[in-house]
Amino acid sequence: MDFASFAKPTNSDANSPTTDDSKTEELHFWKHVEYIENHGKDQDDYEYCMTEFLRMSGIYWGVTALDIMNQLERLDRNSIIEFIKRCQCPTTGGFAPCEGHDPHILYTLSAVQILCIYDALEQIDCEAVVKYVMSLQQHDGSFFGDRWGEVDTRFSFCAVAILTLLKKDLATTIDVEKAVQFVMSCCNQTDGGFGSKPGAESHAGLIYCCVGFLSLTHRLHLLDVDKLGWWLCERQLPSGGLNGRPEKLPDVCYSWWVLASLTIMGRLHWISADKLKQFILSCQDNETGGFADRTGNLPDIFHTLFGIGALSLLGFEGLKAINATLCMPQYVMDRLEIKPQILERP
Amino acid sequence: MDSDSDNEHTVLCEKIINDMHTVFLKDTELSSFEIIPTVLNRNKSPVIHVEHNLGLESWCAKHVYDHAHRMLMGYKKQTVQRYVQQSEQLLKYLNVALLINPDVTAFWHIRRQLVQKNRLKMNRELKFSTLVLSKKPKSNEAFAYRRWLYSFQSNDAIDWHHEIGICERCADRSSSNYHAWSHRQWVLHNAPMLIRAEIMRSEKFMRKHISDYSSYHYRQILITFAYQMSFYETDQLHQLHDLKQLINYYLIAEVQCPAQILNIMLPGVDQAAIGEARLKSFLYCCNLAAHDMRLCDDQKNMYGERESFELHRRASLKFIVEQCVRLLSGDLMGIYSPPATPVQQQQFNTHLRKFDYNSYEFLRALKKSESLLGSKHRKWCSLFLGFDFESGAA
Repeated sequence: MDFASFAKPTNSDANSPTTDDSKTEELHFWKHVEYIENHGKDQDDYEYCMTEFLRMSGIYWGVTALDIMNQLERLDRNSIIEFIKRCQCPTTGGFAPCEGHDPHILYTLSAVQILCIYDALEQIDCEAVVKYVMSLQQHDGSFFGDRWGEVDTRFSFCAVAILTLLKKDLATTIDVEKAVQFVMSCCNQTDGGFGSKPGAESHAGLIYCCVGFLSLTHRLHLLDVDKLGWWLCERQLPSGGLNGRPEKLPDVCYSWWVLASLTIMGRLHWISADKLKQFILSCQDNETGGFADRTGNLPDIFHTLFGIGALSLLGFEGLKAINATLCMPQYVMDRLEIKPQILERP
Repeated sequence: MDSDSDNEHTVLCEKIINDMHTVFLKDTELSSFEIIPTVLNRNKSPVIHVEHNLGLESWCAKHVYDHAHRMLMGYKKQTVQRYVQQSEQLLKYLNVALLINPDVTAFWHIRRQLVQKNRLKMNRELKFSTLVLSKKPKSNEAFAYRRWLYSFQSNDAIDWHHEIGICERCADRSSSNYHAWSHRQWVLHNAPMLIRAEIMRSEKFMRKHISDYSSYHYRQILITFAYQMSFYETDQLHQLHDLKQLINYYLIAEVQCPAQILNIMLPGVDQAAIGEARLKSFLYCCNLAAHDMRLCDDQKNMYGERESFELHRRASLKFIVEQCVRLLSGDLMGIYSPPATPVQQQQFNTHLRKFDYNSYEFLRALKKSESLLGSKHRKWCSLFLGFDFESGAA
């Protein structure tokens, strides 16, 4: 079973809204829909086999992007849910990226996110998931990604995101204070940013995880917003695109990570939205649909979600609102009554 | 595909995988692996072995990977107890699959299970992960596997110099290599005796890769770590050339000896309470930071403005100012050593904002001089160092 069987046969868009060119004249809306829908339809594709180890996240990227584009019904809900159920590890409760692979907190979050979008959490053993997450916390408050013991601030984010989506009280499931302390120990004093471990270089993707973590644990007051905001704004390059670290090239996925962090911090207005929009749109593949990391490169499903997600944060017309902390449609958050903390625009 | 050609296909893949395995068994000193772009099957073995370098022709990589992948998934359907007993067979497929696709954590996990059951030798495993890094220098899985393997060895049995060499090669081959530099930090913290050598190596790297900011960040961590460990080199303390120059630049005053420098930078502190080692380390590390500020200025003059020069100069300046403030107010705060927890760090940041720079000649001159470097730099100084440019000398 794979992504191929999740895509329903393409119909002639009989019941889909017609393209409104005046609203999204620069966004190749239907090409992207088609790109995501067809993603992985070719099972013999070498790329498809090579990326099996992150399939669960791949599905989350596709499902979320399509939902933001109001086209979720193009994927077959039931077969996706059946696939997810088969990936839950009966021993640990965690989710593998694909059958035959091993459970990991990254894919556990992706699985839970997809099930929340489909309003289908009752289909899996949620208590086992909670136990899995609890079992990964260490004495210093950090989280392992799986039983083999790598520590990373990404896993701290995954842990609190999973528990929040499962509507579990953080205080009674994990040691929140210690978890917060660990994340704060990964804050770099030279720039206010965060890395993967204490002392590791500040990195926009990991900043998103740490800011998201503080948003979910309602500890945003611990952030030095002026310092971190400065660093995040410096990510914008003359092309309008954002990079993830100093001296690096711009990349569409950092549009999401930087923008989402600034949104949570109430400082979205600190970057030039128009120039960023132009950059993101320049990374569309005009022929196949989908977004690439940079203008002219080949598109992939990962950059497609983060391109669409960033455009949604920028208020692009024709896209549903997206929640900056959890990178999921806002209506799903409203249905689940989940309200991650965000700071007011000053 | 009909069953005959299917069978033929399997036989071919098995043959290629066996050829590769033979090389693995024969040559324990393999140093690199590459997939070699070739369009056609030229009807000879696609496995190329030249002087400890292993290559696989690209036309067959897909088929070989698919086959190894399918075989491994087949083994994984058995219980762990059963499949670890077939370690020779497993290893054959694992080597090929991971060299072609190093991102598959499930395959690394099988290796871990085999190590746990004593089916694989530690040294061979370290060599294998180095081989993977020769193909993908950014492979976090390979670095993580090494850390995991070392967790079974005693600290002094590990060749840390060799480990730094691996980090350096990977960083050299792939710019801003996050995982290589993180791994290098891990090595440094486990082997503080490397500080001295690392101070030399990191500068060399920064000079060679002027826009690799990860190396600058590592250098910042290195200097901070050296100070935490109260590290200094006695023979360097007589010179402190860069620190003297920095003081001359800010104060236009000739300083000769370490005692004079201490009197200028830390007037009125209780030197006995701080302790000799910390003071010596203060001088040594501030000299390094002053050296780096100078380096950034020189590089800027040579190559033009770059983000890395600007950011590293700031970080070095911040180091000097913070260590001065910390020692100047240590008796008030009850700590002379750098903050250990986030809470202590927050307290220190609050303290920095209230600190009266104008009461100290050196810091006042530094503040005034830095204020002349443009409005953006002034803004940075007030945000990160707590400089209040409205009042006093500036």
